[in-house]
Amino acid sequence: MNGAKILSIAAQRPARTMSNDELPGKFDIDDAWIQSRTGIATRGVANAEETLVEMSAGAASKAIAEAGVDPATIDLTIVATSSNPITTPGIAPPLTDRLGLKSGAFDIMAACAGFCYSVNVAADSIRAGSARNVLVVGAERITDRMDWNDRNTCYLFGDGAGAAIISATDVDDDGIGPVVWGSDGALADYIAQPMDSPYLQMDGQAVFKWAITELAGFAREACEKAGIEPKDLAAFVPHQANLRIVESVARNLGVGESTVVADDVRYSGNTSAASIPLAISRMKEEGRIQSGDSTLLIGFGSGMTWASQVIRCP
Amino acid sequence: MSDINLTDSTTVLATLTEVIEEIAGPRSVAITREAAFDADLGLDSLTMVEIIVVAEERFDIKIPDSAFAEMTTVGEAVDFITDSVKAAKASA
Repeated sequence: MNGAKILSIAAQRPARTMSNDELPGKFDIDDAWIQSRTGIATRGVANAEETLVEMSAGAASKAIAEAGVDPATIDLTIVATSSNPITTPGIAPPLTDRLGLKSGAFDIMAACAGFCYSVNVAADSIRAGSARNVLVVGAERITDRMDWNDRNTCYLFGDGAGAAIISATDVDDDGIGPVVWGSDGALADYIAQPMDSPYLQMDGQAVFKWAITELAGFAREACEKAGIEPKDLAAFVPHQANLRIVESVARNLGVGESTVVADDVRYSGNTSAASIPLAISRMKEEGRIQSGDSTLLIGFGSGMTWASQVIRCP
Repeated sequence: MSDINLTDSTTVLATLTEVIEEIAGPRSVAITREAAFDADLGLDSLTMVEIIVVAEERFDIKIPDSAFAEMTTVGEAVDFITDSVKAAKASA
């Protein structure tokens, strides 16, 4: 059986960045309030030309170039998204056409856990011999589904895309740890877009309580399965929902003093399935993590659903 | 579980104070029964959720969201916790 490892991760962010002061809704909340509750200072807002396919293609092209793989050898493309504006087709097939590929192509809808689910599906496909090079993309235009006049959510979300190339390698070079994934469908109404609404709705307090109570346990289990102690992690990259959640989970998990904790949410907002590859990309650009670093990922979101694994940073 | 007497409200106040300071750091005013969580201690709703989650674990009780919504002062939380711990012991 093959092993699988991540060769590259790259980002495509919208050209426009919106600060808290530029939010269009009129409320009794300001930049200081938003930053204290969420850590968010700015978010990317995609324009009409920055479609999910275009942003995905931007990130994918960079990831392919960085990985040094021949695009013609990509045999599977997976796009994690929850903001496809149409029911069918998914984003992956037009993305492969945009990139000049003829690979297998499908979308995963696992909300903000989508990237971690996709990484594991890609890795398992490679290990089983179904693929040798897999393009995984997390891409979102969450602001399309946001009510700018909803005081509970209007400052939370942002747009963007992140892509990774995952490739076959020797078994003893495998760089993607066992996944811990699960769901609690009884909480499906925590984050949902009702049939009769164009907007995403969220019970923020319930999500916050669930996250700070449950996530550290899943993350710890992923570390155990990968054979690493949380305190020995080089980096921790949880889904960038809210900096308060990130910090609470990091503390409860017991990451080390030298563990670098992702905070891309400050600049990008909550970009759902794109948040983890965007966060890793920023950390690499800033030199905060290096190739080879043991990095714990945990995605979690609407469902509620979650997936977590330790990876070797590309 | 600690053998500290958590049915004594003075002890509950001391333990809850520890929880508040663990989560939110030292406060600029004393944590007394009369202190309001938001107005006096500067604890926003998300911090309160974190405190309640840890308090549930520390006192081995459940604090329903409806009860939590009613607590505006430290004293109200202490009384709820003390009553809950006593009730849990009585049914054990």
